[in-house]
Amino acid sequence: MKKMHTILNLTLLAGLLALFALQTAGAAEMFEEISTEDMQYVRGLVSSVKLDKMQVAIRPPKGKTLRITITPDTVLEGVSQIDEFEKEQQVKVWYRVEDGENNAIKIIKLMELGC
Amino acid sequence: MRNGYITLLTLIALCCASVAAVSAQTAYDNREALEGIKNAQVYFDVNLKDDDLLVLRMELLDRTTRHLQEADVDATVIIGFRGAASRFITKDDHYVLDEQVANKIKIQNWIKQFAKQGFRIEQCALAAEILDIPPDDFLPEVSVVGNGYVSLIGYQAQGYAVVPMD
Repeated sequence: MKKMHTILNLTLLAGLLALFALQTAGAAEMFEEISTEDMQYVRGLVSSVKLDKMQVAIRPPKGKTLRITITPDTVLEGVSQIDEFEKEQQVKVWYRVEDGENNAIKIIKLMELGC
Repeated sequence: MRNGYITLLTLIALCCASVAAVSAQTAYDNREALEGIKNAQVYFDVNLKDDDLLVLRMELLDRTTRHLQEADVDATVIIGFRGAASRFITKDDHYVLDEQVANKIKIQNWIKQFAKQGFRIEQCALAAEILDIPPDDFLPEVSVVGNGYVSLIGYQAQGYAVVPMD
């Protein structure tokens, strides 16, 4: 009876681990560094920050500057709020074009490694 | 009348003496440092983010090599780029902010001139990878090397003097 219990517990644990692994893989897939039909991806430099409009302007390496709007749902990594963005910081941005606005889904501020 | 001439000549002599004294004071040189030196190997380590400072450093680099030349020192020069400075030696107006384009053009022109002078210009591939700059996006005068730190170590071991430009 005790052995059966252990097997059941282990199976349950394995199931949970598998579920967690699948979710993690799914999340990683969700933020691939490419633009898809569902969302756009850009990597570039912060060229300006407009706190009143909750917008960050991003200059991609070879394109025109984009205005990205930060919404309450935007996930920020490397900064906790918009006013921590600074000019020339390197960022990765995933955004969705909605009603003419580039609404940020996720923004990652990259570390400056200096090497 | 004669006294007037004498006064005038004395004044001219005094002026000449003053000019000579001032010239002697401003004509600095590096004779002691360069005594017996006919050849020098220099590695300029460029690792700057500020574009205004980067332009100034390029000018100083040029002056330094000219001063060596004027002192009859034959210099072998390598300019190593790494860090955020790497963005300014890429092609066109890419990888910089709009307001940095004017300075980027100046830096690009310096790179072209330095290459014509026979200087070797190196770019660290690690820095390029971190900044997401493909090797083909660098100016044709630039040689991309595997690791800028290894270059620093190697050239120092070969006897190059490392001049930090940060």
